[in-house]
Formats: sequence, C-alpha cells, structure tokens
Amino acid sequence: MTVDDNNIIWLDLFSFLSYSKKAKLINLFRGKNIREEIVKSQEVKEILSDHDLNQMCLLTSDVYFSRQVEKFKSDGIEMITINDPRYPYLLKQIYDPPFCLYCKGNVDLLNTYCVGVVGSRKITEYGTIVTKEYVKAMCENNITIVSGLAAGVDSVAHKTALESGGNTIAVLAGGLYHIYPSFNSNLAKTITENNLILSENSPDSRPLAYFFPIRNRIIAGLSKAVLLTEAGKKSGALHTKNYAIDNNREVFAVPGRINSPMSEGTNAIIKELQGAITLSPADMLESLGFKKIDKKEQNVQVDLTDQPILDFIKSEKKTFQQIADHLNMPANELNIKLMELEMEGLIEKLPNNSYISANL
Amino acid sequence: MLSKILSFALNGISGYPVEIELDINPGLPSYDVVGLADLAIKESKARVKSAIQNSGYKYPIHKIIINLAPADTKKEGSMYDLPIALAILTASEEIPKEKLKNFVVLGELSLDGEVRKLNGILPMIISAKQMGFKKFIIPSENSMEASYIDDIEVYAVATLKDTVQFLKGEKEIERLKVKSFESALSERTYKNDFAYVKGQVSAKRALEIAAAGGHNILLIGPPGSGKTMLAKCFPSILPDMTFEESLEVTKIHSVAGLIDSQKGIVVERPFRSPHHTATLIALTGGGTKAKPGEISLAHNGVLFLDEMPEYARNTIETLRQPMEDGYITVSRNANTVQYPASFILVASMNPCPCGYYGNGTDQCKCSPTAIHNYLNKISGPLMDRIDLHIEVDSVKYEDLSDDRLEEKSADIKKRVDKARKIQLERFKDTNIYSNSKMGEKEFKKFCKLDTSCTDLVEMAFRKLNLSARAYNRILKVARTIADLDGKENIEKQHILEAIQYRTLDKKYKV
Repeated sequence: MTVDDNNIIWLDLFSFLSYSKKAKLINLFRGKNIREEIVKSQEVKEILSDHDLNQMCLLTSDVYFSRQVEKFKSDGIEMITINDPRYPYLLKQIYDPPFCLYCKGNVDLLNTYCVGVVGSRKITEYGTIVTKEYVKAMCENNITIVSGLAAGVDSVAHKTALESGGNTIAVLAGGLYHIYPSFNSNLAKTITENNLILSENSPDSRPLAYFFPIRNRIIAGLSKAVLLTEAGKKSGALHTKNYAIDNNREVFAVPGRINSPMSEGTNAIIKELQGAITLSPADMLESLGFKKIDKKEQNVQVDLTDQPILDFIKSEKKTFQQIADHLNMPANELNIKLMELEMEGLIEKLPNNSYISANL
Repeated sequence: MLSKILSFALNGISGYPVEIELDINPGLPSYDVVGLADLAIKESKARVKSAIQNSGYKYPIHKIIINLAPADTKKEGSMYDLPIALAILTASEEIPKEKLKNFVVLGELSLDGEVRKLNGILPMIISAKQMGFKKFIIPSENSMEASYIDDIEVYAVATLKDTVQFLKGEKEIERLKVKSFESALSERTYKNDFAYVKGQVSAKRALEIAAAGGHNILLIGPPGSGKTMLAKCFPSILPDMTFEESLEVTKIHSVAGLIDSQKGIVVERPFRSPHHTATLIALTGGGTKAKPGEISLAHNGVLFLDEMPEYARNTIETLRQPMEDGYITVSRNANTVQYPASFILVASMNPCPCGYYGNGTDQCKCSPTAIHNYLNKISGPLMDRIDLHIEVDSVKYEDLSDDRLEEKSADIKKRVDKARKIQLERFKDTNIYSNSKMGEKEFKKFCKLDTSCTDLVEMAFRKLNLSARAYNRILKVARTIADLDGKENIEKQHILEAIQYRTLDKKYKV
C-alpha cells in the first residue's frame, strides 16, 4: 500500500472527521506520511480544532496503525482506496466519492453492472411481490443488485438476489463490525460468502444516524440506475433518488395505490419525473438497454382442477376461507392443492393465511 | 382410656395412613395434639368440643392427648375432626371400641355437629384401597366422588350424631352404591361446539388433526379472528377419557378443591386457560402446600395459553420439561411431590404487537424490529415442541351473517376417535398413546417414507426454506393425517398437507 493509502486508512479511524476535512488533510499530506508530519505541521491547525488534533496526535504510532490494519486484514476485510485500480469507476465519478471502501466478500462485483434497489423499511405485500419480481428479472440479466441491508425492501432485494443465484452488494452505514439492524447479521454473513458487503467507514465505527443518508450516495454512485419499489413520504430511499439524479443515474419508481401511505414517496417521484415510471421489469430493462428476453414458457403442467384456484387468486390475494368457499372444497383437499401449487412456485403464501398467484 | 382410629393424609395426589391415638387421663382438663399437626388440626379442639356437646354427648373433662402417627410427617387440614371426635367418644366409652376397627374415617366438623366436605377424598380412597383398606366413613357431600370406586364399603355421613348412632347399631346408613363410569360419561356436556364457529375451515381442520394425534398447536391471527373461541371448542372434539384417565384427573382436581360435588368425577377433558399474568408457581404448582398448578390441572386435557408472547418468558419456558416428560416434580420445604402434567398445548398469538400484520395493506403500525422482537419472544426449543402452526383468518361480516350450518363437534369427534383407535392399536405394547408422543424408535418404525415421498420432502425443504427442526414434526403430523385418512402408509398428499402447518418455519415475514 502506498503512503497515500495509509494516510486515508489512518484518517478513517477517526470518525469525527468530516468528508471535507479528510479531503483537505489528504491533499495537504499527499506523498508524505501523515502520522509523522501532522505533529509538526502548522497548516493543520487551520483545518482541525485543537481538541481533534490532540486526539489524533495521540495515535500516530506505527504499532497502533499496523495492528489495526492487520486486524482488518485477518478478518477478511479488503481496503480499496480511491487510488486502487479495483475502485469502481462509476463511483469515482460522483461529487464526493468515498476515499476508501472497506469490503468483505467478492470484490470483483464492484465493477459489474449494478442497479440500486431501495425502498421503505416497512413493506407491504405489494412491495414484497414487486421487489421480488424486479430483482429476479434483473438477476436473470446478470445485473448486480445494490442495496442497504435495512429491513423491508432492502432485505427482500438481497434475499431474492441470493435465492435466484444473482449477485448483490450491501452498502452499510456503519463499519463492517457493526451490522445494523442486528437481525440481519445472518443475512450479512450469507452475503459475504459469494457476494459483497462494504462500507466507507472504518470497520469499528458505529452506525450513527447521519451516516445513513450519506451512505445512500454510494448506493446511487455504484449503480447505473436506481429502482424504488415502495417508499413512503419520508423514506430514506428518497435520498438515494436525489443522489441518483444529481449524478446522472437513471431513476425508476414503481407506482402504487394513490391512497396507500406506503407508496406516497414513489408516486411523488413519478409526478416529478414522469419518465421514472416503470410498469414491468421488462419495461425497465428495455430502457436500460437490455434486450427484451422472452419469458420462458412455464413448463409446469397445471392440473385441470388447479386452474380454477389460479384464476380465482390471479388479480387479488384471497384468504384460505374465501378460496374454500368459492370452490366449495373441504379444507384438507384445499390444503394439499395449495401446497402443491406453492411448491411448483405458481402461487405464493402471504401472511394472514392468504394466497396470491405468483405470476402477476 | 386409650383409643385408636385410622385416618388418611395426602402427599401430592397419593395418600398414606395416619393413625389417631387418643388417651384420656385424669388431670386438669386439657387438649394436646402431637405429631407435627398444623394449626387447623390444633384448632380442632373448639370444633370437636362443640360438635360433641351439640350432638348431645358428653365431652370428658379430663386431660386429652392426641397423637397423629407417623409422628414425623407434617399433617395438615381439617379432615381429622371427625376421627378425633369419634376417638374421644370411644375413649369415653360412648361407642364400643371394636366397632371402629378397620374403618378409615375422614371428615371436618361444624360446631353443630354436621360433617363437612373435604378436598382430596378421591386420592386418599384410591390409595387406601390399594393398601387393602375396605371400609370408609366420609362426609356425605363427598359421596359422589367416592361412588365410582368399586370393591369398597363407603358410608357417607351427614352429622356426628348419625355416625355415632350408626356405629352403635342404632341407625342404618346405607352403603354407598357404586355408580358406573358410563353413566357419568353420558351426562357429559361441553359448553362450546364447533357448530357455532362460522367459517375458519383451515383452523378447524388443523384442530381436528391436533386432536387426533395429540399434537400441540399454535394459532396465529389478528385480534377478534376467533382464536379463543376455536380453542374453547377444542375439548369437544377430543376423544372421551378412559376411566383411569378420568380418575387421574379427578384426583388432581380433588386435591385442588375443584370438584363439583354434584358430579363427583371429572368426565370432560379439562380446559385450563391461565391468564398471561399467571406466575411460574401458578402454572407449575407449588406454594407452601405444594399444590398442583395449571399444567397439572390440565392433565389429560387442554392447556390454553392465550396471547402466548405476553406471558413472562421464564413462565412459559418452564413448560418445556413437563411437555416432554408428562409430569412435573414440585419440590418444597415440606415435601417433594410429583404431579402428572400431560396435556395438549393450544397457544394463540397475534402476528405482531398491534395484531394486524399482513392483514390488509396498511393497517399494521409496527416497526420491523418490533415485529421481529415479538415473534422472537417464544424461544426456539418451545416452538420445537409445537407441531402445528396455523394462521386464522380475520372474520368478515359476510361470514358472521351467513346462516349456513357448520359441522358439529360430535361429527368431527367421530373421525378423531377413529384415528385414535388406529394409534392405540399401533402403540399397544408401549406406553405411548398418540402420534405426538412418538420417540425416536417409534418414529423410525412408523414414519417410513417411500422414495417418492422422500423426494417430495427434500424438495419442500429446498423450496420453502424449512428449518431442520421441522422434519420430525412434519412427518409426525403426516402420520396423523394418514390415520385420519385411514391409510396404512404415509402418502404424498399427507405430507403436503402437513407442510402447510409449519407457517413459522417458512419465512413468515421478510
């Protein structure tokens, strides 16, 4: 690693440093070892307060620094600085690219074709279904799904990508040692196996609230396009949209019901940017320049007796009771039918004992 | 003058004989009880004296010493009033000594000489019978309880005077007639019936399977969807208790003082529904007297935990061991008691704290973390012991106003009985009586799958992300479904249906 790389990684250890201060310090000490020079330098005093400077001067020893770096490395964390050839080209183009990406997993994904899939942490059935469908379609086209590992849309996007054998990148707000929300730590672990999690913050930094909105610029920055499947009025996903617009990335939003608070954000985007509307995965992929793939004919032999069930739940979810009443079928037989259809992937079970046809 | 009378004491739900020795000596009038008697026994002095005098007999103005043998176990309760009174009258030669030989006497006295009802008569009589005692004098209010035991002579008495006259041969008291268990069974009534539950076909089917195989079941659904109503109807489709089961239940209820003196014996399967503020002791049993708790009172019946995540965690976690073993050992300072506690657990819960998760598009106001924490309140090991999870749909107005007829509990019960019969036949050489209790050995033997079924299970696990712990549960439930179907082997459709009941093992939420 070069001196500059070391400088960046050392500066990242101090989470109180803002992006602009870091930028100034990196420029000031370009080609010099910051840990040796900072104590002597007079110019730093204009950039840093005495308090911050004192704290930093306490930790300038080589032993401390190399121990930290060794620890990150032994935990499988790769540090890709902005000078590294592996640093994603698209991300470098944004106004304030992160100086270093702390990565765990398959770093080759950084320079693949990425699309950000973001949305609310609270998700409805509609949001789940739509997210799954878009992610599946994109994975079929070898698009890497970038998201933020939060609950709701993010989790669905990552999980669907993993399930359909696609690639996914999770961009964390805090450091890699602090997976947030903690119930997604298993998901994070699975992602590191063949896919990638990354953060611009040093692995030890805690996920502070103000990291989340600025983390969204990385999601937008990595991606060619950003898709919002379901977002409320104040969703953080709207930050991602703004970053995407600022950096000339495509924005797509899935329309929702006008009276659903969970779709207020996406509907507002569509009003603002009319071209953002996407009505199907194929439609979105086409505008991204992907050739239209004919949907493979489903080769599942549908039993004649199953057809009425599929027709009944085609457009709207129906509860078990409603299906049973409609078909006049006893519970045990219907149980068997629904299970068969679910295993064949033709229908999906939703909470509250209701079902919907899987191909919308 | 010395006299001796036999009585009984309780330890848990079994009894042991207590010999009451009474000596009247000349000296200053006094009344001393020795032999680790509790306060209720020591206070018997007042009751016994008044009762004897008010019955028209003479209370000896002498020094009275009473010993309760064996002298080293604690005795409690008021059941020794009648035997002490009779011992006094024997010692003062009102009653001829030889008359009371071989009698076991139990009863509390009131001041006017009436004999009052006791708790725990049945377990004491059953133990006494096993030890070879044949003749009993008990309070007449307890007569129903004792009347189901044959081969013994029971005399139910209403007053002290009657008892004395009976012993002296001045009055006839008829020996208690033995009632048949079948007659009690025919008087059985259940308050709730599935005929009154509209819709809910999937939940009803799941409960039918639970009843047929003795499986524990969890109902998940929004508030007001009828989870509690369904659970309350559940006992009405359970198979009838056998006489032995019934006696066991009656014993526990007798100790707890819950017997209806009109009925005497418990023939309905118990349905216990402790509130979620119930303490650990209330559930498992204990207290200074080591009384049975709710899980023992639910023995051979149903323990219903409404809103399971609301219970204190350590309270429900204690269910794990009794659910496995079928009994609970309550250890207290005074004694250690083993109570049977083999029950079917019916639990209900909401899908999230507000209760509306997944119900409509935007009713639920819970944050993802809140939902996650709520579902996590029930530990994995406990979930492991619940074979069926079923979601209960919310009820629509049309369903309520619909006046079509639903299937009666009695009809469902017929199918359950048939399935249980198959199981009893299958497990006849073991001490297992339902599929849910199968151990590893029986599981291997009776849940064999052919290759097409094995493939199906494998595919289901892969496609539906089932957890490994679901495997045994699914096959046990499939075994029960096959029994309901009257099939020798587990077939494909049975497995498919069984997988439906593992909601929480699938990704219930994202």
